[in-house]
Amino acid sequence: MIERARIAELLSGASVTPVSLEDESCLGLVLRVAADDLLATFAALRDSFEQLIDLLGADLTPRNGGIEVTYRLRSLQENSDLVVKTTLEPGAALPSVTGFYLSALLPEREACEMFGLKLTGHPNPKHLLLTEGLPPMLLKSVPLRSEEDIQAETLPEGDPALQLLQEFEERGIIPPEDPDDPLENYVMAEWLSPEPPPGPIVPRNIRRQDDDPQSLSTNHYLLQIGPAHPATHGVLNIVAEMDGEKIVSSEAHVGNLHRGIEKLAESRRYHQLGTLVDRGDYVGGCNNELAVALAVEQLAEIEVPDRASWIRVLMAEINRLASHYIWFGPTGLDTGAMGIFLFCLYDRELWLDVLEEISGQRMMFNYIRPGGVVADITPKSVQMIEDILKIADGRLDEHYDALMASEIFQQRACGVGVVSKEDALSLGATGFVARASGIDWDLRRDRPYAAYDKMDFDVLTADSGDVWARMFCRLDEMRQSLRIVRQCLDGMPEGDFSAKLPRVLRVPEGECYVPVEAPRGEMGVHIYSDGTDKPYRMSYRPPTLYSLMISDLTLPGHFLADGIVSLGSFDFCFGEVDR
Amino acid sequence: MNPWLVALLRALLILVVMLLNGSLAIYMVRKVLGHAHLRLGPTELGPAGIAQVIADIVKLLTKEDRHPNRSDRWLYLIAPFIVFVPSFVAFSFIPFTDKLVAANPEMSLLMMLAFLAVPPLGIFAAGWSSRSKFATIGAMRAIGGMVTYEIPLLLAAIPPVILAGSANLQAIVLAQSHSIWYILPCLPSFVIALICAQMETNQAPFDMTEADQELVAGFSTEYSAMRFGFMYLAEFAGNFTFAALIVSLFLGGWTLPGISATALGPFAVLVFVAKCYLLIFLFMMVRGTYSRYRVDHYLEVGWKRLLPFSLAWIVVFAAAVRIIAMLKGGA
Repeated sequence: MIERARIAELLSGASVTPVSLEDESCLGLVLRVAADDLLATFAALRDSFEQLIDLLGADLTPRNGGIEVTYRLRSLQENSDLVVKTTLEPGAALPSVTGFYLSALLPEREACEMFGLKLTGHPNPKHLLLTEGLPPMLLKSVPLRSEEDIQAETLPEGDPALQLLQEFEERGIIPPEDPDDPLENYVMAEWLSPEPPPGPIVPRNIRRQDDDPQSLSTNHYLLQIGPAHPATHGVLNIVAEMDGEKIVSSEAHVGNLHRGIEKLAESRRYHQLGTLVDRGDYVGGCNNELAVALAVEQLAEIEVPDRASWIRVLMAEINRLASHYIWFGPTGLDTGAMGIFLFCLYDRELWLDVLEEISGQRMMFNYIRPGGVVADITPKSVQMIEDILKIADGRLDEHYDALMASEIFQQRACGVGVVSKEDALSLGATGFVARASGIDWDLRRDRPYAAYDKMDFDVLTADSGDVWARMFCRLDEMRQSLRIVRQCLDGMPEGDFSAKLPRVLRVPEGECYVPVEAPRGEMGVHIYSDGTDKPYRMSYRPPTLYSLMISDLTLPGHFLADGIVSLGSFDFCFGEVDR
Repeated sequence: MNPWLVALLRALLILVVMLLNGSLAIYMVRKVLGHAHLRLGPTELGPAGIAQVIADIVKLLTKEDRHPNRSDRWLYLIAPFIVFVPSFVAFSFIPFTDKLVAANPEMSLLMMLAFLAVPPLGIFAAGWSSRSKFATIGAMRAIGGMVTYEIPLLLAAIPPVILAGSANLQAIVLAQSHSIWYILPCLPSFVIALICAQMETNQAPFDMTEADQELVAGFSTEYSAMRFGFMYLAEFAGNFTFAALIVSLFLGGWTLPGISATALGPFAVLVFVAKCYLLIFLFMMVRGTYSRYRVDHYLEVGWKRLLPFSLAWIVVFAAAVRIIAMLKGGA
């Protein structure tokens, strides 16, 4: 644990006077600083905390609090977190902390566009999810509008934007979002003229592959990979500057699947939040529901029966297995091996049948709710799990032989998409991405939740940080999950599957953050409660948003083919990145 | 009979055989990959999965034939035929039996290899004229691959020519029926020829020009309907031609060891076709099993492994043949 006194000492060393440094029960140690002191604070804390785990904003203006921006710093060595909070006036400038933690790159952009802040000192301060010109969505003064409202809204006649739009429509051209952006100018010029436009193309990546002085000097070109590309695993759009087959620089564009889950959560009751986060990471829904349920239980101080905790672990692990199968196979498919993809789908189907038997759904379970779970596990489902467990380990060996034992695959996976330990730390890597880069960290072991403290399992790490290491770590995770599922069946305690809760759950005022080890890394839920039956603000930490930044920095210098394999190995889920 | 009429009839016959082979190959690729991959559709749709073939063909015939706005119109339209016609011509040199061969020039092996070298140009034309970046990358890869793999393939065909003393496929088959199948003395050449055939027919693990995970569909990204179908027909014809070439060079063509040509009679065709489809089955199993090479590894394998090895092997082989002949002459 990093003690309060040490933080105070660090801060006084940097001559920063904190507004407050308190131990708040649900959040842990909270440091509040003025926005002007933010950079100095981060400079002082950088060496003690390796990772910036989460960054979120909250609009507290109705409570006379301004816009509150929260940073969660983590020291892995000491296993302790520090929450740094700063308060800004609406529309004020937020200094970027990307100089200290690269993991702020995308979340900062999102926080600023969502709360109408100005971002200063950021290498690419564009909007991340929303179209330029839309009102900051998460402000309390911006209401949720129905589709009819939006369609009824028209631009006044003769508006220059309207004329431009008309012209573009007539010529069959997609209008630029931001006419000052060099990248979009390049795309436009490419559309308008038959010749490729002259001059450099620079997608805004903070890393760029230098030209090889010995190679031929060739014209670079712009390649739009996605959002409708067979290998982008969802709706990712990557704009890559290419030199022949090599990626020189690239920029990932997200937001195609943005549904405003965080805004919607503010008009849902606590037990309805599960349905929303299910649609975030739609492949690993149970883990997301678990995070929300744990957060609500922590705020409302609900005691969960033992059996419910065990069932939760069982479901989370089965869901993790199902999720890993839909990653292991397609990563093979990315290298061109079709068979393994279908073998893995076959196995995933077995687990989905179990999930369906227990929760009634194959995806979007809404099974784990505050207080416990919806229904008890049935004897039939236990029988089904036992049948699968008999063959599952052997089939994992088969999958290894079918894909990873092939020399061609090893050529494609080893040394590709290497994430160094420093990058992984600085970019907020969690879960298997961190473990494959040599960071020994697993929330299930280091901060056990539900019934994980009673489970016996190992955490495998690798040092090389490449695609091979990620595959290997995750394959082992699947074996460990099988172990945990077996333990759950053997040791399942008797009792209730849910606590008795009132129909409408009112949660006392407070704030908390609960992380769980989701299949793709640390999935966290940060809830502000104001004492009513609905959350005041819910923020969702998507692990693959951070993986996306890692992948973005990893791509330059790779062949296109390797880039695709590297992308696939991070296992993005765009429901979660865009929310 | 009028020689023109005969030529026309022969051409028609080849076309029919080629189309039949195409539909059979579609069925076969569905079934083989379906079983290898646990795919349910191709093995369950209709009796024995046969409805999948009909669905495929009807779909290809009825889809809209469209082309991109800024494509190089004429090149785009004729490119599928640049791929299709040479495959069709190469087909005519296949000796199905001692009598059944559509064209039998003195140097039929060389003619066949020459025509088999043309389809990559059509692939390049298709990719280049589409004015799509993915298609262009695929087209570039096709040319790179052609330059790399034509040479080892040609070199792999030399040892049987040395043994038979002729570059006529029919003569090579007959020479094997009098001695042994050339797979035994020329095993390394056989393996090289198999690898090159896999590469030339754009099949995984060497499907560089298509590489659907990287290039969407490579050179054929912008093609639709029957133009797309023609490319595939040519690919399946290429499969069969390469299989027939390897069978004729190394596996005794339409003959069987120990059975004379007259005794085999009309079954010779069946023997030949069965051998070819066994090889195609092998190609498909490889295709269904492995990951794809990366493009630079792919070129490396060709230039740094196959080419030097083929050259060295030919020197060793020719020297060995010469020495054995001298020993025999001396004895």
